[in-house]
Amino acid sequence: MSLALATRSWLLRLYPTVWRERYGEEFAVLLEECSLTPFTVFDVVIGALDARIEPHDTTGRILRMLQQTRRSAITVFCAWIAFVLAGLAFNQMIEDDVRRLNGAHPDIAAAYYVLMGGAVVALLAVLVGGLPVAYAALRRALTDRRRDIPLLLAVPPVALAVWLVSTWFIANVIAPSAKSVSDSTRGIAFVSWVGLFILAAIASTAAVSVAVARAEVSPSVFRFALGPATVATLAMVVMTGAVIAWGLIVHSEVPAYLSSNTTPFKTSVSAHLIGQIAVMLVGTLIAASALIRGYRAPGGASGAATPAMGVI
Amino acid sequence: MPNEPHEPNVPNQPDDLSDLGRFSDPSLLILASLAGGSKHGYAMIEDIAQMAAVRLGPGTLYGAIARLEQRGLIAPLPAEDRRRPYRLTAQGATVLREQLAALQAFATTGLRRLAIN
Repeated sequence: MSLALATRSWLLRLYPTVWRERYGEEFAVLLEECSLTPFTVFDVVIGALDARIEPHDTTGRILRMLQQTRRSAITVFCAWIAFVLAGLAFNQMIEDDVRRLNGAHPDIAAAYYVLMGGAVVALLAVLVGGLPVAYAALRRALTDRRRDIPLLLAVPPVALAVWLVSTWFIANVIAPSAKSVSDSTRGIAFVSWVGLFILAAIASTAAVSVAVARAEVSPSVFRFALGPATVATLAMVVMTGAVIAWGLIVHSEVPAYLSSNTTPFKTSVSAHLIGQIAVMLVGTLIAASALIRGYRAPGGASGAATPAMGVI
Repeated sequence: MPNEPHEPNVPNQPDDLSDLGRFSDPSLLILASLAGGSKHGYAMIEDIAQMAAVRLGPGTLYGAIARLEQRGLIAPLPAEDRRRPYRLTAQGATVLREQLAALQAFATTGLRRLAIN
């Protein structure tokens, strides 16, 4: 292989695979027709870099998150889901004792109700920000007769249905009552139930994220979503603070409760609580940093400026 | 004669090329080149070099082609001997006309001011 041929082949390989699938052959011919000067090499290297930084979905097959606002919205959504899972674990952990603790300790109750209020606010904010995105993605997909977006958006209800059926199966067939099965069977059933829920949540989150990443939605919809995403993130900050406060108050007023092994896995409440707070903190930090990047993106903060690439 | 592909289904686009960043000038040159008839990559480079005394590199050319195709301003035609020609779409012609009209207005104003001074 001559040096020129090898160089042209190397230059072509600098481009992403999907780009080469679409333009590779015609671009290779063009490279053969152009003399291989340092300018040409430099120009192609920059072009390849551009194609990697900002891929062009001319084939509709590339999973892309071209716009920072879109990336931010998806990141906040994923962080919120992780936060919700930690919150549900917290609620599951204390649900048998919450009435007793709240009744006897008003400050514990206050922290608990702040957490619940924050959860409602965050949920509403995610719905306000997320539903227009889902609607726009679905409407555009139906116009373009794309199947992938509706199929991906169908994953959450299907996953929920699967989990509900599993719940019914576990509750009525595997472990119909506490007395009828051994502790180990009950433990396995519980772990399966929780594991299925987490799997369903992960599958749903991934499917929605991929759908939103692929969908042709106007940048203005994502810019609008930044507002509710901010509210959701602030609610996450408040909720994290509330859970930490809850733990500190319980530690001060009911220390025996934190060291008790009343969790489903027979480990101490404090160990669970620390894990849940860690997930909440990480989720909140990820959401906050994604938001900052979203606001810093061109056209992200003010809604003015760059309309970006219209179709993506 | 090969069938021409349908106009790409794209949403309404802004009526300028300013959001194409460093590719806005090459994009305008490509649109102007294709206004004279469909061409493949090398023919575009030669035509633009003759028309505007600017020689686009292959990387710049295809960076702009990908963007223009995605926006539905140009459309690929069936490949001919590994070369793929592109044609100007109706939307591309509209954008080109608006861009050239804006440039003409700019040039007219500038020349008028020069004449006054």
